[in-house]
Amino acid sequence: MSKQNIALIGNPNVGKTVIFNALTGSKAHVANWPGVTVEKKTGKLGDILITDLPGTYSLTPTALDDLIARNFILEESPKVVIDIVDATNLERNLYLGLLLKEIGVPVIFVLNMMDIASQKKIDIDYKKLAEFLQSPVIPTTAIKNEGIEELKKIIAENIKNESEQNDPILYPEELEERITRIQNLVKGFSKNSKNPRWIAIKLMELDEKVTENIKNQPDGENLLNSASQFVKEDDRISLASARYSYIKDIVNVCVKKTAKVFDSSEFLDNFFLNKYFGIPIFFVIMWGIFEFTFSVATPLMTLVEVIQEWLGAIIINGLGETLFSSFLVDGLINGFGSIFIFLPNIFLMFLGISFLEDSGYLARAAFVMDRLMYKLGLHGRSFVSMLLGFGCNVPAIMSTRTIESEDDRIITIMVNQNMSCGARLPVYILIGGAIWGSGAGSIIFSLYIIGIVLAILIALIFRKFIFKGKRSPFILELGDYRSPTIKNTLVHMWERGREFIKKAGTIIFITIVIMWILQTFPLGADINDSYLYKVGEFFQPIFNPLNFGVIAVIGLIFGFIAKEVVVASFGLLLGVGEGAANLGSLIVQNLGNSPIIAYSYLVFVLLYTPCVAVIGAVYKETGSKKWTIISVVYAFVLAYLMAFLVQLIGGVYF
Amino acid sequence: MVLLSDLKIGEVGIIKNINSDLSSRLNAMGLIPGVEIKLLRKAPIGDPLEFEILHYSLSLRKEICKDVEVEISE
Ligand SMILES: Nc1nc2c(ncn2[C@@H]2O[C@H](COP(=O)(O)OP(=O)(O)OP(=O)(O)O)[C@@H](O)[C@H]2O)c(=O)[nH]1
Repeated sequence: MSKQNIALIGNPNVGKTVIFNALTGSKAHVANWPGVTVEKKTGKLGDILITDLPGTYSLTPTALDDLIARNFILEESPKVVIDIVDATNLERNLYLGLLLKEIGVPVIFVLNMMDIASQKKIDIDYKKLAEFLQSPVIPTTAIKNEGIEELKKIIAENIKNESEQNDPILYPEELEERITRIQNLVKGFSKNSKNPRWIAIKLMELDEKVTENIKNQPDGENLLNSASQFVKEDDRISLASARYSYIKDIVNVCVKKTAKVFDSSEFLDNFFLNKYFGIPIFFVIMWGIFEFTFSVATPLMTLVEVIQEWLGAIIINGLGETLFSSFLVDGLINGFGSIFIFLPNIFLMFLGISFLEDSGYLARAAFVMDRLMYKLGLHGRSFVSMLLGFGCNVPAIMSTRTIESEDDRIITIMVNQNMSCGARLPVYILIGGAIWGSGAGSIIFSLYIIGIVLAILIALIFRKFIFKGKRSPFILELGDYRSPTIKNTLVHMWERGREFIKKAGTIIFITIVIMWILQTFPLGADINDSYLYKVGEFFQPIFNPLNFGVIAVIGLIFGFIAKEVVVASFGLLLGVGEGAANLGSLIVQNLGNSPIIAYSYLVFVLLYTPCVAVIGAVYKETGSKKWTIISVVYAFVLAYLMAFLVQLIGGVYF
Repeated sequence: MVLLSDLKIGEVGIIKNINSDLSSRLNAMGLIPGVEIKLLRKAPIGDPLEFEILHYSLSLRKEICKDVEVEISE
């Protein structure tokens, strides 16, 4: 006996995640849907397998999320589909519900956000609603866990019912007549078709996927031909209108608005989306997130460093200076631990994004910035993630998940690494400060600008040569503002952060172990005789045209792991402490005492892969080895070319 | 009859015709002939536009709005 299998579906932002967590006890298994980068979450309620389908408004085959949801329902035949509906907006939300009923799958309707509905003085007659929909209707307030037990009970009951007959919702007679005729043709064509009525309706809508599917079967052309005599040109609209007018009837009977309530979202939008203040407010909010992230993260980062030193000291004291203790201390605690140093940054930034998302502002930010971003080959949603890149590219790349369209998302991910993250700054300060002293500020600023300009150019290039097709549309609901609950925001933050550690962790770990081995062996050798140095010597010729010496190259190799460790590794290589006052000038000496070469080195640092964690994040978010490799390779090539260009223009060769 | 993109702020139109390859998706968002749609505001840089339809807020790029015809209602 196969496991019982049910699915959750609903419009975006109706509380599906909260309900999924309530039903499954937050033990979700997260993966991607086969072949695409859309996330697939599954969990268990007892031994019932629950699949969380992407948030969708419809089941049209042209939108990826819709198609995934639809195929799941058609192919995996879940026992029940739970349609989560925003009780404050039944009119639009029920449209998806009718589409589900049309497929013929048993549906349980969950009316979520009941607390807001009652605040808005919306009264809903569930009994009548259930009659209209011929399905159970359960009111819930998911964030307060209200109605969840009832929902579990109804799920258990519905799962037991074997093949419950599902009466279809009827269309006006004229349409119904033609549906029946086509339906009969479909039945004649394939005796064991599970849902001939649905196929008939899709044929009237000229649904591409269904048509194509039939065409590929023997005699399919015949069926299409004979069906087409019953199809009228604007059936698609007639059917949609019929659904909406049915919903209108339902709402007229079942929903009463008992009083007019002040619409706070409208009020807030007048402010946040104001013609003159909208953009300044956006920047202030973004600045606030940065301020918050860094002011809270800094002491936490220090704490992590203190813990590292303390652990290191304990191990050395306990085990003495052995190979094993060196692995524990230099490899694990200091190497792998360097990731923990920027973990506070990553988590806090996720916290900020979750807050913005849950409050309803993130959609507004996309609305405000879309025009500009569209011109640059991107999407309104891209802006926030590019901005976050100045803090840390990892959460920035992960924040692209809110961009629905795959090409917009991939381009946004690909250009993110050009946004100069916080970890690169110490390298700029060290080297820039040593050469330009107090003038270093404008030099550093120019690096940020180079990053931004290149990000834009690369986005345009990707758009022009790789994603040539039609741009994905901007159809975005601006939901009501909500005050996010602390618990929910923390849960969202934790889910994102945990995934990062899990998925990016492996690749980081492997790299760090390799680095430790290179650095430590042959045993007892000075750093200048280590394999790492040999590796540096081996690769150095590649950098001959850029005039980077072995030490500079090893710095870049370390920087590949994390820019945080570059400064420290220079200290190690040059035999002085990290804090040494002359460290900067020693590096500059190493770069031939030439400001141009030093600047081109900084340009290189800006543009090549920011850290292995970014590679992990790119892999995680694109789900594609190809894109991950492209991102690493193009970054390297770009860094190389730009660094070379700097030296060419700077006259190093003349 | 005017295009949805030509509505002025505060004006209400009744949707007459949708001629877009996205019409199924737009239908699902409530854009159906006969439904009222009101332009609430434009984004600070002029695009996209924010509408009220079926008691919720929907934003669309102007480009899509050019595929929708409305009749201005009083
Ligand atoms: N007031 C109130 N807020 C709720 C309720 N259920 C969920 N929320 C909030 O609504 C927001 C969206 O909830 P999610 O569970 O993330 O919604 P979702 O449907 O998974 O959204 P997508 O991931 O975009 O599809 C969160 O800020 C929740 O805290 C509820 O019953 N009442």
